[in-house]
Amino acid sequence: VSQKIHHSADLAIIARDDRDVILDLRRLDDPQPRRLEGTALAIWRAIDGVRDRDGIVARVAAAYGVEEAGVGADIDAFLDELERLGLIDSASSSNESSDGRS
Amino acid sequence: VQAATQALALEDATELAHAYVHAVADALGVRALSIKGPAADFYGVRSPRIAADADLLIDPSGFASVVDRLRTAGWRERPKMAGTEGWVEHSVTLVRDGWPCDLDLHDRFPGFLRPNADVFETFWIDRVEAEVAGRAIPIPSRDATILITALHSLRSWAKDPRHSEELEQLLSRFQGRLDDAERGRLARLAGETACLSTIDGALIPLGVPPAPDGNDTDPRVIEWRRLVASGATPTHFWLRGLLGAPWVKWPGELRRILWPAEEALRQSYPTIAKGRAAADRERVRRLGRGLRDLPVALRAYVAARRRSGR
Repeated sequence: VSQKIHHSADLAIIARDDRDVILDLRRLDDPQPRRLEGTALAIWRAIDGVRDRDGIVARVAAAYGVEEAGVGADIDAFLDELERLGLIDSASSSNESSDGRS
Repeated sequence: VQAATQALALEDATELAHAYVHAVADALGVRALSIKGPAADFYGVRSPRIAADADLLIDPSGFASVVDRLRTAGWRERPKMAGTEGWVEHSVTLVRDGWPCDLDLHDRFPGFLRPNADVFETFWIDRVEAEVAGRAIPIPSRDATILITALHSLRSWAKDPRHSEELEQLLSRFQGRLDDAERGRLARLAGETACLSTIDGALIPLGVPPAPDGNDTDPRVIEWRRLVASGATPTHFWLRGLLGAPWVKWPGELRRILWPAEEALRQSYPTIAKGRAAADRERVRRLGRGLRDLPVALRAYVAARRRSGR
């Protein structure tokens, strides 16, 4: 069983070449856009509703040409932060397909 | 690695603001249409540019509830200078710390003379969805966007030279490219929303006929023509306020107009440096601008009165 990770459904997302800016539309009283750049952006964009944690780590490590073991902890911490902010959700699955929102 | 909250760029803020206001309106069950920027870009009625405001047309019956909800969420009305009350009767402008764009919320769009609820309903029926900030948001139809763009350009050409260029861009974009059926639909919409008198022939190349003569005595049309002829400068609004006030109030009104209190001045021009001398310099500059625009505003008054035969 893997935990496929996807962006939360109620987000407004601006996607630019060098950044994504995200607003959680459920937090109407506290509209705080989050700006993602650099490695944060690479991780965010690796979240496609299909990959699980290991897939995201593999994708980002490959993009930066580094060992997965060297970046896994940082990526875990960032995924935890995104989950705490309500920007991502995880869905347990074995082989079923995800909605794949990205 | 972190998700930063700082440095919200204007171009990002404006798009997010559209999505945000729609979320607020949706939560209240109020219908809203994004106008101007997103719609103009979607149909290509003008050259793309970064908007400083997110403009939305809100169902008039739910307008107050949306504004109230935004106020409770920390948005506040942009301060107006004393003596300018009533300048902008068609929208509420809200600002919030950390957001570089304004929310410009309209319960009507100036120039459409049909009742506000009817105009909204007409636009809502033919709405289209455009993608903004990854969300599908409703915008008016292409025809409605053409009319809104034309009216916006006409009423504020002197306030911002870009607006006069937008009318030219609009005409060059569509002139000769609408077939008879499309021209007929556009003209019908202009008739249904009652903007033939206010567009006043500016869209003849797109098939929108000039106004019937009978509308020349409609006070709303007279006021619109004064506004358009004056270029919607502050001087126009001051003149309108002054001429609309009882004579006994003129001395006080004139004092407020010509030499406003420092607090009122700073509300309107928050970037003025500290100190009385800086405020006085801005007062003099402002007075100069007002005097420069006065002949045009006066001519607009006289011309609109003569045209209406009043």
